[in-house]
Amino acid sequence: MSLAEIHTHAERFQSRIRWRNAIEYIAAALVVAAFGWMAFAVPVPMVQAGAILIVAGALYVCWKLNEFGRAATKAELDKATSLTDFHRAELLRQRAALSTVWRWYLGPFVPGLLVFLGGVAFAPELDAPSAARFSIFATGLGFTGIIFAAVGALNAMAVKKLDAEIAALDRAA
Amino acid sequence: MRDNPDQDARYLDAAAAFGPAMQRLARASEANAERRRDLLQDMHVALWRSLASFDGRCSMRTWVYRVAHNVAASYIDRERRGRAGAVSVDEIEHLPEARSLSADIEQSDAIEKLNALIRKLAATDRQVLTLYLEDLDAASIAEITGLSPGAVATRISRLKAQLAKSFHETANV
Repeated sequence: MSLAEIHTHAERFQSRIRWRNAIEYIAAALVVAAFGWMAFAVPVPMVQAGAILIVAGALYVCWKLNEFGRAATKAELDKATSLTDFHRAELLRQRAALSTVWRWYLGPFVPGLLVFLGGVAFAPELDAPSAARFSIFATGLGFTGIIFAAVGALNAMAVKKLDAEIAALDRAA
Repeated sequence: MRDNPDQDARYLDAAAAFGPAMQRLARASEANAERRRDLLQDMHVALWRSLASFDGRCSMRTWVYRVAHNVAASYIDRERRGRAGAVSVDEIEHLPEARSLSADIEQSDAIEKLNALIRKLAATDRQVLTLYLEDLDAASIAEITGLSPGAVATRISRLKAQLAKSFHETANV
């Protein structure tokens, strides 16, 4: 490759990373916009509180994604480490992100979702018997729980796979 | 992108000296011609980027091989995630059949068969074998991979035995 082509490709690589980060921030901005609007527009204090907590959760997740992204970019730059060190560091980085997914990706949304769902189900303005209210709350909770459990389970499977790869790498050395 | 004459000069020297080896590694990593070209471009770009921080921690040859192999390994990891995993050399029983028409075609077939075999190997076996085929000794391979020289020698011995068995079986068909 000519130097000009190298420079062009290197710039394209940087652009791809900037776009990937931008997409993550846009997704977070949509969540913030949607729930931020609800925090002002919905005249139910508990729903407002829940919406604000969800916005806070989204901003926290954004910050963590940025942290992981910076670590990944730093790792990308040091490709001249030995193959086993590089590969091991990659696997450990991925494992760290996946094994803590409850702490930094799912967990931050839990308080907000609980309060928000509670606000929606038990709002005084909702003219429904208690059983119906609990049913709404339980359905919302159950649906959310299923999604969170599925994400958690998939990540746990991926962590197991990574553990096996790391162990194989350590045995090989 | 700021100009860095040292980085550019180092890259041009490295590409001149090791470009063919990088091409062979790309061929051993990816069968599809178009994706192979992309992989090779990624290797060159990664090499150029890495040479901005070349710190003499190792020889240029070791540096280039490390960067190229780490790029190839990351590429193959991404391709394989979700598909069937790599196999160890002991699990590969058969090589694809070859049509024998002439010596040139036979040699070309043999090289392609070898590359097909290499592509199926797990990361460490693949890296050791491709470096061995570049005529590097066990000590050099150990420096690049981070394995101990003893581990490298054992792997090479096992890989050579399995390759000989696989090619011998194909010849006798």
